[in-house]
Amino acid sequence: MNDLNSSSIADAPAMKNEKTYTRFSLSQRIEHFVLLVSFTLLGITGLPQKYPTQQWSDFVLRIFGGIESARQIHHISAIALMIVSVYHVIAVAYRIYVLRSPLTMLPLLDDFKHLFQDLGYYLGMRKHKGYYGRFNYAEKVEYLAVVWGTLVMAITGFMMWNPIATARFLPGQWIPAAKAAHGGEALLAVLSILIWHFYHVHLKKFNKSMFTGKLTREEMEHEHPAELAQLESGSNQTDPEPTMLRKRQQIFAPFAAGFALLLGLGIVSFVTFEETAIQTINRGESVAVFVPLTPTPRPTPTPLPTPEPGQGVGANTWSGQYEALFRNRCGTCHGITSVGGLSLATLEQAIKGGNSGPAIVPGDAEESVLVQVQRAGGHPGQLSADELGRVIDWINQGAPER
Amino acid sequence: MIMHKLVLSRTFWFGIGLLLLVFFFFPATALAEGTEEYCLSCHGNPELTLTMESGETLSLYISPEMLEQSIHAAKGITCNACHAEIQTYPHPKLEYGTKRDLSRAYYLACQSCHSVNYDKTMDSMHAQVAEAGNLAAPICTDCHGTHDIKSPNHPRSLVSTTCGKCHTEIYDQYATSVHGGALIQEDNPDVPVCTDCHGVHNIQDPRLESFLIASPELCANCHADQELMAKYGLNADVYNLYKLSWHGVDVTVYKARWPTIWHESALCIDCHGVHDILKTDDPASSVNPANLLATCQKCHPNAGPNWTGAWTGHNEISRERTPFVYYTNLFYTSFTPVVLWISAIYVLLQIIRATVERGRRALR
Repeated sequence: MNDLNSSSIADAPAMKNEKTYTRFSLSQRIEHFVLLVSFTLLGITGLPQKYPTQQWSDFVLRIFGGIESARQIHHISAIALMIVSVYHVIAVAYRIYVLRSPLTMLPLLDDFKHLFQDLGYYLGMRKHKGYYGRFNYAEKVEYLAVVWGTLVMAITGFMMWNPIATARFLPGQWIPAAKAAHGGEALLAVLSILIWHFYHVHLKKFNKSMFTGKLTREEMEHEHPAELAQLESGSNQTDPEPTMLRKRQQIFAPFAAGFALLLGLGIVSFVTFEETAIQTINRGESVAVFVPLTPTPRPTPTPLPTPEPGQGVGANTWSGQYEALFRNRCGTCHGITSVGGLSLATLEQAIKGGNSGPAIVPGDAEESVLVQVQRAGGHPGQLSADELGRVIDWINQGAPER
Repeated sequence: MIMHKLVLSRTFWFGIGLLLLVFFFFPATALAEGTEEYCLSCHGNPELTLTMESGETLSLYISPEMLEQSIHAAKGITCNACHAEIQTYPHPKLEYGTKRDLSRAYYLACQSCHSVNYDKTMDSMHAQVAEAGNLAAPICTDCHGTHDIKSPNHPRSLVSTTCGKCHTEIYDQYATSVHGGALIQEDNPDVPVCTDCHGVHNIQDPRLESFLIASPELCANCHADQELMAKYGLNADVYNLYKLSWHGVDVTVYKARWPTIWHESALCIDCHGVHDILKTDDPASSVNPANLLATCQKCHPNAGPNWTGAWTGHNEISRERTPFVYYTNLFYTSFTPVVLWISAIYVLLQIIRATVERGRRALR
């Protein structure tokens, strides 16, 4: 802003002997260039991620060499945009504090007046447009929208880049909300640039001042007549006294350095804050895959009827306890295979007994071969003392079946 | 002329061959018709055994009842359909060192009738394992049986118990899962048996990237079926919503297009489990709200208690469940069109005015 005020330099080109006015300083043009490149890359690599299933997304991502490199480019562009934003804040602060330049981007009542005048002109009700100052309302709206958009994108971008940290102090659903806002704001920004910016500075008249830094007098007359009048009447702002300037610079420099350092560290932590997820999921079986069932084949399961309650499970009867006990402890030999002629599969067979006589004599445990053999100990399917005690009790009670 | 001769001579030789065939093999064909009875006159003896070179005892007894119940007997397919090299009695001694050698030689006979399925097994993981030298890898007869072949899926649970003969620990996990439990206890026809996910004859290595990437679609075969899911009160949109989620896009779009992508994203099975999937309201389920954070932490190790809220679930964004997301979406879906329409109208006004102005100037 200052540059123009300080230097209505007569920079006459050889071809046209016309006076030009500096509109943007070199540093502003560099800022714009970095913004232009990073914004474009962010949009091109970001929108395919918003619409991942579209054919064109696939096409665009392929150009960037795949999703991973597109994400890298997106992140690097974001870092560039953050750096240029920090620089911009410091540059604006310098112009406001040190140079005491007027706040030419602030929306004023005049802007509304200009809007109505312009609308009147476009509708054919007025002979000319509003007389704009240094920045007209269309430019102010666009600038403020970029500030707002960059803030939204940086905050939501941080939340997605560092979701675990975000969820430490915010509800988890803010992260998907950040994703929604990041995508929504991106679409709004890109389409606004295509409609608003492209029309006003490319289609209406190709305005090269952002690259040359200059406007001709004729262009000034058309686009910024109020500013031109101010310049020519000499009522524009002048630079502060050199001593004053130096004094303010000395105060400003440490603050600017501190601020730059703080935000610089902020950007570094933004990028390196956390490793969100492990890169390789440890997939695999928690159990051994090949453990063949030998030698007994698994029986074909037949759906069992749900056991009805009250069948006397656990009662001191053959079916309540001992059928299962003998099947588990003795069944390997004294089941189907009937080693020694003895099967304990049914009570009937147990009473009938094997080669050594009746295994169970109801009412007389002492006569029961099963008790005799178990008492002697060392049998392959040895019952515990407690189990044997219960069996003896049951036999002495007459070995009831159910 | 030459061609004609050639055709003639071919027919001639074919005729001769046919005659020879009839003469030499007619007795054998006759044998085939009554082979069962004929073979069982020896092999019906339960004590008939053979000691192999390896020292293994091979029972040569074929139970007539078992044979009768097999699916082949019912179709009139008799002994020499498979034992084709045995034409007469006494038949030559079979030279196999071990029982396994014998099985691996005889199962090739399946090929002659079941060539399609046989060829599929050649692409299977089991065949690869066998090729790598593990002769215990299953062949046709290990799953289907030999003389007792029956329909492999009656009851349906037979499929899973068959796999469970070797994959015992996985079977035990499966048997307690929501799928396996319903199969074994209720004979539920809707739940998957092993082969529904792993394939039947051309079973692939489930650790392969290609299998893993396609696995959500496997789940979707049932879980995106509106009718089937309605039967169990389950949401059938889960797959479509997963595909739009952070995890799902990575898997179904990016990983599918760029398999070399250097990070992995969660598949259905990473959160829900594989063989041990339980109902989400089961307290032991890995996605039960009580266990969800621990499940997230498998991949997001430092996640805190708020983290699970970031998972919007397989649910549409709603004002009740995720108000922040709902209102953010609402803001952008209403604010964006308003801004863009105003901009477009404003720009259009300028274009119209500029065109009119130019026209006027040209007329002047």
